This record gives sequence, structure tokens and C-alpha cells, in this order.
Amino acid sequence: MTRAEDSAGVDGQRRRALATIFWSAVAVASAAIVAPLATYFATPLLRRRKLPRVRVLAVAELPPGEPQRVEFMLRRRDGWITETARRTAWVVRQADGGVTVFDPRCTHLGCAYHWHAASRQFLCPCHNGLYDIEGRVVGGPPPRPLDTYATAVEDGVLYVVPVPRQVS
Amino acid sequence: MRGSESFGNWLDERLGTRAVARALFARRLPRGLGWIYTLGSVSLFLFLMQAASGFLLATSYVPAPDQAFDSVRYISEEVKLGSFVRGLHVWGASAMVLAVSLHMLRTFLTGAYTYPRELTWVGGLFLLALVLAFGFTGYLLPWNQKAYWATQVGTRIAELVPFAGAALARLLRGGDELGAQTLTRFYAIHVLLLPALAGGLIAVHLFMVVKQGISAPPRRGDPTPWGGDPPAARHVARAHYQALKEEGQPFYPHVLVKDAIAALVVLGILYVLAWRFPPEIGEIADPTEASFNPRPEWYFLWLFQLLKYFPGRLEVVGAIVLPAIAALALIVLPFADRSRKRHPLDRRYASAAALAGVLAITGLTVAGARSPLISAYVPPPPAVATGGRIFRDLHCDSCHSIGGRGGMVGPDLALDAPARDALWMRAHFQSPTSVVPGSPMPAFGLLDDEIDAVIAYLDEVRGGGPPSDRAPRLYRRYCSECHALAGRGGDKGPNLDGIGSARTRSFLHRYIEDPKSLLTHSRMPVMLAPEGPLSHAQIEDIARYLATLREPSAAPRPAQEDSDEGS
Repeated sequence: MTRAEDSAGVDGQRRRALATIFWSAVAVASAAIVAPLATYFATPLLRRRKLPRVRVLAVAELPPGEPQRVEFMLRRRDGWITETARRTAWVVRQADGGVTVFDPRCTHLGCAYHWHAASRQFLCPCHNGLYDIEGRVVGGPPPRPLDTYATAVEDGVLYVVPVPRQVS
Repeated sequence: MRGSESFGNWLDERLGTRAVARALFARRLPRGLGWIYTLGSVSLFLFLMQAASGFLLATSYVPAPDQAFDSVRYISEEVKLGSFVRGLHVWGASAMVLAVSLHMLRTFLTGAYTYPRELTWVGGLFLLALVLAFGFTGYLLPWNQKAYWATQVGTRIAELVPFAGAALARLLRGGDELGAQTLTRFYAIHVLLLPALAGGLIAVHLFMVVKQGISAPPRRGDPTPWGGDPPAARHVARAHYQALKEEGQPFYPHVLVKDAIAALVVLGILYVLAWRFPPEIGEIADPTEASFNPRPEWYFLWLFQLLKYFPGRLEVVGAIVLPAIAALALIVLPFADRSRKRHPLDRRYASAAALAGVLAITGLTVAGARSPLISAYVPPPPAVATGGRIFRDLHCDSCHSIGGRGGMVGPDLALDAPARDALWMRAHFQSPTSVVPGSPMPAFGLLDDEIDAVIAYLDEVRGGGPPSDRAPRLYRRYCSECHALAGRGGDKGPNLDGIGSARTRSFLHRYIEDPKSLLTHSRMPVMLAPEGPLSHAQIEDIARYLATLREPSAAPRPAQEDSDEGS
């Protein structure tokens, strides 16, 4: 696009100055537009996913050493939608006083297991997966111990974050 | 360097890019194109901005009545820079109307629509119509009260079109009533149809601008040879323009640099506006809320105001006939104008007409903006509105009644709630049995902010929380001279027994603060304490006190006399 007669002398200087101003303005405007728009679009990358925390029950209600199946309502946000789901979990007040909360699905194929009081084991009816009260595999096909939920006890009340975590 | 050069050659051999670039950027234009000639480029810049920000808004927007409002609130409150980007889009829309209108005004005043640019002018008129259509359809999308009621008015205006009005309104709304179908229609029009039409028209408009060049700025008393008939005259006009171009400047960078700077300035203004004045979220559209004051966006205010001067059957004149005549006149203008002069001072009648048009539209807009709001409407605080929605969504009223309406399983919240403070309520929502052993109320697992909202709602329901002990004293001192309560007090104002059943705490507060702002013909004065106006806390106390005065019967208050005389 450079024309021979424009590229030299006063005219050429003016032209170069104007071109510099033009491209500077374009650069500033582009940055000023792209930066907020890119930030907006990158929201999923920039925002830490807030895990829902649910109040389950008062720890005092738990008999030590007896797993309890608890039901709770999980209310959580999916973008602008707030949905309520009914969820369950197995809660064990261990001998040492600590509380463990197990995801209610067998780690083999995801069936719902239950507590077999006579043998004091968790029994999965699908393929006879067996776990002890601490979630360790004691028989059957499960590849790993029961998944757990993060817990917190505040003022004697048990809260869980119902997102399964694998126990290695 | 060599690499990019050879890539340039490579592209050029295949696409002829050098010739295109030369035709676009090296073309020469007449000298003297001032800043006012950047309005077209600014409009194009704004269109591209709107497209980019609009795309992003669409990534987190749902055009459905039960989600639209929430998704817009999500954008404004949760998305990173969401409020800002929404601000750019909303303010950008206003800027676009302004830029396109001023661009048209410039073209009119400089007579630039004459030969050979008649079609550029007509295309530009259609682009202005598209911009207004963008504004009208986009305004509904947030599905808030303003959006809903403004669109209600807008589609009613469509009904005024002779013969086809009813069908047209039905087509626009997608049915008899404004609702889900209207929203999807407006959305599809706003994000699919209008951008496609505008994109095509802009391409044609730009092609014509490049093809014919920008009209030379008119000079006083210098009759630019006018084209039209006969062919010889057109030839002279073309030769004259060609000469001006020869001695002119190249488009790049001499002309384009001004466009870029103007666009940058406009962007700066939009930045400030979007940052300092983010668009409001409002309250969710409520077709049953009759006291809302419908107001269109400012660029339709002139039409809104115009309708007030054409009552009854004449309304069609203001709504349809006059705007249609104006549009038609603008379309035929380049074919009808036989003037040889182009400078605005040499075309006194045309310039006077433009001035009159601008003044009329500005005057109507100002009058529309200043016209008092008819209804006494005080929007509830956002948390209260959200809490109310949760209350309804969870069907709390199946068990609880408020002022006699609702179920009987749980306590009446309007009566019972004042005994409980926020801490108790919070613990109660988290686990009802923890504070009320044996309570049959289910734990809904409400999120923390939802609990806050429901508490705010219940506070409002029971009158904003308990008034302080000094409230009755304040009432006696400032109110009882004119208002009676339980048979005692003056009779200049209405009796206030049971006022809490009819008016919310927010309303009462605002009313005491400034009666005329809510009811224009109220005779109640702004109350003055010896040391000046009542303090915010004092007003709040009186408002809460009055809000607790409920009708003794649990039944809803019967249709009551208009308390226009003040409360």
C-alpha cells in the first residue's frame, strides 16, 4: 500500500505519524474490548466451584459403632437454576469418636449397598461386595474402599459435602 | 519479515487481497471530512461491539419466563465482569440509536443523500429501523417489570395498525397474551433475524460508501453540480467529485485515524457508563402487579409521549400515521429533492424542517421523561422479592398463612414472626427440630443466601421487624394530629386502623419521607421535627409501627377506598 510519492518527505512523515496513531488506537480499543469479554467468557475457569455443604444431623443422634442411613435434601446451584435433590449417605460414628460419611454407592458398579447388622458388614446385593465398618473391602469384586464425603462438625452438628472422594 | 511478505504474496495470488486492500484503504476522499463524518464508523464499531457482547450474554441467558430473569441476574451477579459486559450492551444500544440518528442528521443537513447516494440513504433508513427493532426486542429479554410492561405497551401500539393490527400484535406476541411465546419470539428475532438482516444491509451500505465515496463537505454558496437528469448533469457531477478526490487524502490513514479516535472516545464513554451505572436487574415480571408504571426505553419515549396528545380513536394518528408519514417522507426525500445547493445554510427550509424534527423529538422525550408516575409503586428490596419467590416455589403457604391466606398447619407468619429474631430463624430453617423439638416442618436445605432472602421476606411481611419502643410516641407526635387510630386522633387524613394490611413497610416509609413522590395529589406535608426533617431511623420506626397495625379479622381486607388523600 505504500506509495512511492508518499513514503518520502513531509507527506511521508505525516502519513507515518497518522498510521502510528491509528494502529495505537486500534490496539487500545481491541485490548479494552477483548479483555473484559474474554474474562466474561472465562468465568468457568476463573471461578472456584463452590461445593455445597449440607447439614445432616446432630452427632449426638448417632449411636456409636452403628452405621445409620441418612436422607437429606441437597439444594444446589447450577448456574442460575437452584435445584433440590433428595440424597442419602451412610454415617458411622467410629469408635474413636470421629465421624465417617460414605457415599451410598458400591465402588464396583454403583449399586446401593446396606448394613448387614448380623455380620457387621456393608453388603452390596448386586455382586456380594463386602466392606467393613471403616469402608475397607473384605470380599467380592469392589476395586477400592467405599468413597467418602468431606465432613465437618460444628456445634455438635454434622455437615457433609456430598461429593464422593476416593479413599486410596 | 520475508516469511510474512511471501505469505502476503501467496494470499494475493489466490484471493487478490492487494487489489481489495488498495480499493478499500488507498482510495482517495475529498478533503475537509471533519469529526462529524466519523459517526458512520462509530455506528459500525458499536454494531460490532453489540455483536460481541451480545454473543457473550447469550452464553448464559435462557429465553423462558421461569429462567430469563434468573439468568440475567446470574449474569449481573455471578459472571466475572458480567454486570459490566451487560452494561456495555445496554449502554451500547443507546449509543447506537444516538450514533445512527446523528449520522442520519448529518447526512440530511449536508444533502449527502443526493445523486449518486440515494440508495445509501434508503439503506441507512432501514438500518435505523433495524436498530430500533433491536432495542425493542432486546428490552424484553431481562423479563423484569420494566421489560414486561414496556413490551405490553409496545405490542398494544401494534394493535392500532389499521386492519392488520390485531393479527400483527398476535404475531408479535405469539398469542393473545404476553408470555413464553413472546419471549422466544423476541429472542429469536433479536439474536438471529435482526443480526442477519443488519449484517447484510451494513455490507451493502459499506459497499455503496466505498463505491461512491463519501460526499464532499458542502461549501457555502457553492452549488455542487447536481446529478439527476439529464445525463449530462450526472456526468458533470461525477467529474466534479472525481476532481475533489484527486486532490484529496487517502482513506488510510488520513481519514481512518479520525474514525479510530472517535470510536475510542465512544468506547471510553461506554466504559464509564457501564462501570458507574450498571443496568439494573429490577424485579421479575409480574402480570398481576397492576401498580407498576410502564415506561419504554428513552429512545421510544417520544412516541410514548406523543400518544398522550391523541386520545381515544385518534390514537392511531399519533402511533401509526404520523411516524409512517415521517418514514415515507424520509424514504422519498433523495428522489424528490431537486435543490442544487447542499450547504445547510443554503437550504433554509430543509434545515428548518430538520431542526423542527429534532426539537420535536427532543421535546417529546423530555416531556415523557418528566411526566409524573401515575401509580404509587415502591418496589420491594431485592432480597424481599427473592424471598417471596422462594416462599412460593417451596409452597410454604400450604402450611403457613400470611394475614389469613394459606394453610393452617404451621403458625400464621404475619402474626407469629415478630417474636423471632434472625438467629432463631436461621437455625430454624437449617433444622426446624433443633429449635422447635418435634416440629413437623421439613428441612428444605436452603442455601445460606436463600435463608437470608426468606428472612428478609418474612420481615417485610410482618412490617420490617419490630418497631422500637419510641415508635408510638413518634406516631402521636407527628401523625395523630391528622390521623385517627382506634378512634383517637384528627380527621384531616384517613383513619389508619389496619393500614398494615393494605400497605407494606417499604411503601409507608417512602410515603412518610416524601408523600408527593408516591401520590402526586397527596395533601400530607413532609413531616418536620424541630431540628429538621425526620431522620431515616425515625421514619423507619413509624413505618414499622404502622405496618404492624393489621386488620383484626384474618380475612383479606375487602376492597378498600383509594387512600389518595394520604396515609
